[in-house]
Amino acid sequence: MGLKGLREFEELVLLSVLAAGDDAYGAVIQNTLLEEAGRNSGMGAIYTALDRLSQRGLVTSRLGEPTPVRGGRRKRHYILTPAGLALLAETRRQRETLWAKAGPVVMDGRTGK
Amino acid sequence: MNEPPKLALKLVRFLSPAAWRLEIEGDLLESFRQRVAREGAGPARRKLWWEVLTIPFWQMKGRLRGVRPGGDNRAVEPNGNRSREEIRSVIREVLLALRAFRRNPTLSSTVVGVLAICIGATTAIFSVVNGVLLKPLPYPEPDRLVNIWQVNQEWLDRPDPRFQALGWQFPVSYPVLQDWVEMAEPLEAVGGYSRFVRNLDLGGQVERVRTIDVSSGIFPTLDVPPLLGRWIVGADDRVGAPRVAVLSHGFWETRLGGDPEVIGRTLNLDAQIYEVVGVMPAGFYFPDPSWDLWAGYPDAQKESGRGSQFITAVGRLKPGVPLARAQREMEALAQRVQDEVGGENHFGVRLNSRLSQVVGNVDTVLIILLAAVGLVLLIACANVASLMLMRATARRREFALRAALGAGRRRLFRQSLVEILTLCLLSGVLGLGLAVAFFEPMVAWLPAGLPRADEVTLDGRVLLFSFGASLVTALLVGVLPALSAFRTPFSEALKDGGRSSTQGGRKRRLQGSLVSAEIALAFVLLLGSGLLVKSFWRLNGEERGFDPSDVMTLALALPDDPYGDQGERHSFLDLLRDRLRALPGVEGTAQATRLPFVGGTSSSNTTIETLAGQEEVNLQLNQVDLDFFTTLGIPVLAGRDFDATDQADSEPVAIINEVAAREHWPGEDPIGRRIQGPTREGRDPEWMTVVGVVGDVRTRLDRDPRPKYYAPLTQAGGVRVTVAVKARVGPEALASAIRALVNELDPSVPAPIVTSLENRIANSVATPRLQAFLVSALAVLAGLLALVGVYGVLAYATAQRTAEIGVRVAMGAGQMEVVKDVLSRGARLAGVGLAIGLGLASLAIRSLDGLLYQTELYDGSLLLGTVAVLGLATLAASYFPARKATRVDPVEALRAE
Repeated sequence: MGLKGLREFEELVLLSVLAAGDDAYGAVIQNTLLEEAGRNSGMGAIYTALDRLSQRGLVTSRLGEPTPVRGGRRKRHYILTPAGLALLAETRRQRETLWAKAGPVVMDGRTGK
Repeated sequence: MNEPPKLALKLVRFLSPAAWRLEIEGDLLESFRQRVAREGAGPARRKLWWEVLTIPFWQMKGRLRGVRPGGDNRAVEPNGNRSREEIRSVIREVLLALRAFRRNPTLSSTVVGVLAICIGATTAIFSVVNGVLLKPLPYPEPDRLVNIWQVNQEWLDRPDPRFQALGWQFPVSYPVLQDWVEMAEPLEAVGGYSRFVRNLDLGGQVERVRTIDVSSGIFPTLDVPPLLGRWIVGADDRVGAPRVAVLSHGFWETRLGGDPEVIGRTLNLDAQIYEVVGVMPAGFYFPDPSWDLWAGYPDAQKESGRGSQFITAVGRLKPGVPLARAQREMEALAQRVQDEVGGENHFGVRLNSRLSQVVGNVDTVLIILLAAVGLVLLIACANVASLMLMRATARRREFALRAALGAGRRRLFRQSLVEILTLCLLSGVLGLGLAVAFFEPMVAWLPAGLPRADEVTLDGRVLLFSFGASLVTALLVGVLPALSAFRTPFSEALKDGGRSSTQGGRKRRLQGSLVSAEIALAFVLLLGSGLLVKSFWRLNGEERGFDPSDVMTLALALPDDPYGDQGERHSFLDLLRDRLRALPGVEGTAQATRLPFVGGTSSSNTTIETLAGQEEVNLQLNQVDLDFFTTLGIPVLAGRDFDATDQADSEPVAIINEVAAREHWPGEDPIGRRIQGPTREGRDPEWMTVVGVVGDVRTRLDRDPRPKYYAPLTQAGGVRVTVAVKARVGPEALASAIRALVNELDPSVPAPIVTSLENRIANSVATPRLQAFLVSALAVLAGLLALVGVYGVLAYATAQRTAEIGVRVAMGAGQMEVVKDVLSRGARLAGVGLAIGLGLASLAIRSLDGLLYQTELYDGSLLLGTVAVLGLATLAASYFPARKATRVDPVEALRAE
């Protein structure tokens, strides 16, 4: 379990919402997770994670307009709340502090950072 | 194929919580499209199914962590709370049930395994029934389509059953068809068709194409619009109109490369020019999918008279007109026409639904298979119910305790039901998985002649059936144990330490009757399978009368030009024979208008000479070459074989078979008698002298040989000739050598299909073989399930009575006495089961009537054998618990108190 009771997958979803910028909705988040994190996750898992994130007040959402590629269905766009952003910043700060402390580490023959 | 599976998208709406519903479908659709582009349609569809089916899992997982669908910031519909509470409690019960299974993995996996196999098998067979019998034909409002036959009263009156069968389905003549088109009141449209296989010349390369000659009424009757161009229309029916053809989608794509400019192109069919006027859409077929194109009737047929009856008629009933009324009106019409035309009439008219025509008599076979597999499922249910009863007894104290702690009876009852429902749905999903996994091998396994075999698919209806089967299974399995747990007075259960009581006795009786029911059902199946196997054995073991080993057959379609001429034909066939014999490994060849198991037979009324004078009898005719009897190993019983002296200009000769000698020349020597040969164009029939008698040959396994005479090909000769080649080389190599040879001799002769005679014989009994095999497999499965049931019940009962047995052994009861006690209980179960089984079987096996070949329905020795086998097997199954009972140590048993 990661920071403040957030699971790793939920954290990844949160980060994907941030990474996708203005255009964060289910299919995009799924794609980001696959391409950037190598996670091949089902829509049910992502929706559950998003529900939990919004229940904790870390993301908020609004319904968008229907588009033809989606068979005329609407999208739900997600954005980070200030609390969500703060949480991600905190996670990152923690990790970087720890990495700094660990110093240069050799991984797969390369210098890790 | 790039469309997402519709069913999956429907399921999304059903499976997702309300808060997701607005957007999840769109997201799934969008990511499906991306995956199609990235990984292809197949993986994308699979992934979509996976995603949809796992939605409830994620939802449940989230709920267990307190996640609400939609999170905090979406309003949940206000009145949804109560039902949501309900759902939540059901989910809790399902989880509880799953936990209970984990506590007893052997029991649960046995139950799920048995049920999954049975539901899978039932689903698989149902998918075939669905495709063949239940799916509508691929035309709009197919219920209105009918076949219209003439009834040939004269043929119905003949003693030969073959005439009677055909008499009911007599084709119509072109003028009669026209009468119907003009005057049939109850029909919206009427059309006729005839089948022809023609040679298509595609610029030097000749192929066989399967064509249907149709009148213009066919298309409005079927009412499927063309993909390109137009239908064949009324103007094409006129005598002298140019010949036109409409192509099937498959033919257009494979032979003409899907040419979009095909309309107006011409095809050379049997040296006649046909103009392509239309292409039908994919999926359209008529009368079955093996036909390539539809052509207008040639002028000769359009001008033919009332005497030449070669057309099969189909019609479309006007909306709301019932078949019976149409039948009456058509009879009246036939009578009116007859009065106008005059002359002798023995033709009636008969309408039957198109679907029953297409499906023929396979419905009995399929329904029997479905019933058999349903019986096995029923046995499995009884088995599982009995297992569940045992478990319910074991858990009586748990339930009683929970009731004492305040759980309502309703709730306990519901939990018990939910547990079983979960088990059964799990089995259903697994069973469906099995059916999907084995679907393609199964379809490939269907016998070749099964109509509509390519319409067998796993569609929504099959899915629904599978789901329904699991629900019914759950009900059958679940209600008894649930009720019995409900009925127990809880205080009793707590007081008595799980020992036998009056309640225990009732439960034991219940289990006993379940097991007896299993034995009864298994008996019905075993007896049925015994009959089918015996019948197949008889059929396959029939004396064929010839030696099919190493014989390959090919049917030649010689084009009329130049082979309409007898001289040309003979010189080609002689050349072919000589070249075939020169092939390595070839031991002999034969040519004949008919070969056994290839095509049909033809017979006609023929005048013969006997001691009593001239007589008219019905004889089959086969025209054969000089090597026919030798190559096929048919013995010459009297007189001589044909030889080189039998030429066109020598005395006409014939050879008859044994049946003909026995039936038509009883008590006299047929050799030297004469037969009047067939009428040939421009010549009077010639008298042929019988020079020999040969052994009888079966042309089908299920038909006794009929009287037949053979004439030498050299003296007459039909246009269609089949060739047999006996050779000790691999069939593949021989087949391609033969095709190459035919092509080399004359490229205008289409490449023949070469098949081995043994294969043809095997294929001719594919349906009875499959039937016997499937029902036997099911019967064995049913028998094993019943034995497991017997064993389970006795073992459990013995375990329950450990203490009692211990006391008896301590009091000095001998081992034999204990064994006898358990065995006699087994024997009682078997006795009751077999008695009920006999009763059931005497009703059930009547449905096999008509499927059996020379096998009595009520076969004493088979009946006794089945009773003995099942009875002994039951005793054997009871022996193990009995032996265990003798090992009870009285001290141990009493201590366990």
